[in-house]
Amino acid sequence: MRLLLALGAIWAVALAASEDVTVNNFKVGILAKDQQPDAENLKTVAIFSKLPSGLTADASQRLYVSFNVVKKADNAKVKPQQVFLRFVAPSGEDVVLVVNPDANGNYIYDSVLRTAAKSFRNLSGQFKISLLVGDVTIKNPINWQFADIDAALPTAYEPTPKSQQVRYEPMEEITHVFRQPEKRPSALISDAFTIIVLAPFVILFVLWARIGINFQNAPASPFVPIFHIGLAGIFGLYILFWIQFDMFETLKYLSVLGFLTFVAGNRVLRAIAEGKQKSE
Amino acid sequence: MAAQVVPVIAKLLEDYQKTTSSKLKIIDAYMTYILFTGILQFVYCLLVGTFPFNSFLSGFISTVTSFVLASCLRMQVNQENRSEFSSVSPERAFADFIFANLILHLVVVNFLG
Repeated sequence: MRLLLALGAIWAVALAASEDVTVNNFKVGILAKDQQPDAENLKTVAIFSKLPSGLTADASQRLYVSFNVVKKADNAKVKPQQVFLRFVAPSGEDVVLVVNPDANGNYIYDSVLRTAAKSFRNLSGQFKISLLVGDVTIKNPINWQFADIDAALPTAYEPTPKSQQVRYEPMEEITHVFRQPEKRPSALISDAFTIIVLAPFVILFVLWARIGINFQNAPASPFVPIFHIGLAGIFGLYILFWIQFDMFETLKYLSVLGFLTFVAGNRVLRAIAEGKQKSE
Repeated sequence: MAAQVVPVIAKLLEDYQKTTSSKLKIIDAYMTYILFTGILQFVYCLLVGTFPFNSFLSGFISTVTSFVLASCLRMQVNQENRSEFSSVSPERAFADFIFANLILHLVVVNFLG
């Protein structure tokens, strides 16, 4: 009950404070950069009527609007909370500029269009200009379209920073790019050089044949083939190590093969040495 | 110049053929073979590029080291160096050569990739 009483009291105060306002002394005009506003270049517009001819301006000119907001009852100046100029483009996009009162309570909007255009988001061309006036204490808020303007504003493209862009479509998929393999010579060149590099092997056998290589000195022992097979086996094991084995497997097999080859080689070489000593 | 050099080289080759034992000639042939293999690998590297770099490196190191090992074998087997390597019989030298080669090529193959 108390709460209701309190609300009622606030409501009564609000009703008592609310009043009808109107706009008078409304003047609008397009001025050159350093032109003083006077009766010639400004046009007076009565409230809720519209300027008969449209305004035309380029970016170097000023838009000048001045007016007073007064109470209907006693013509006293008031300062409502919301006084805006609203520019509506044909596309429906709008720009709202705040109009502030000066010390005497007169509202003046006076700005070079190039400066004002910064808040125009690159809009240019035809606009409908409205005056908006509103406040909690005002009974009759005003939305008054008072003029059309054809403003040639600079439309410099200023990209929005990436952090402020809002994207609703999915981002482009990022596919992993593997490191590009290094450039290889053609297979022909590689194969040719493989043969060329192996060619001296033939030279080796040719030279050995000319020198007269022989196995006459080999002692008649079963260890001779074991030794040679063991050596060949070790190098075969190395090839397997190159192709498929890892180090541990290789060492495992190498220990067996190496032991056999070592024993056999020891016997063979000792037999050769002994044979030589005997012959001496 | 050439007239002087040619007979000298001819004499050198003749002496080599006459006086060098066939054992050392075999080793020399082996070393020649390694030398050419190494040179050809290097030529490939210069002409085409070092693309599989560790393969090139291991192959080249293999030839260089084999050459060094063969020259060591040749020094120890040479009869003229007998006095210097009196404790090393040719058989022992050959066994060392084989052992060193086995170790070397285990490393080479490991590095070959």
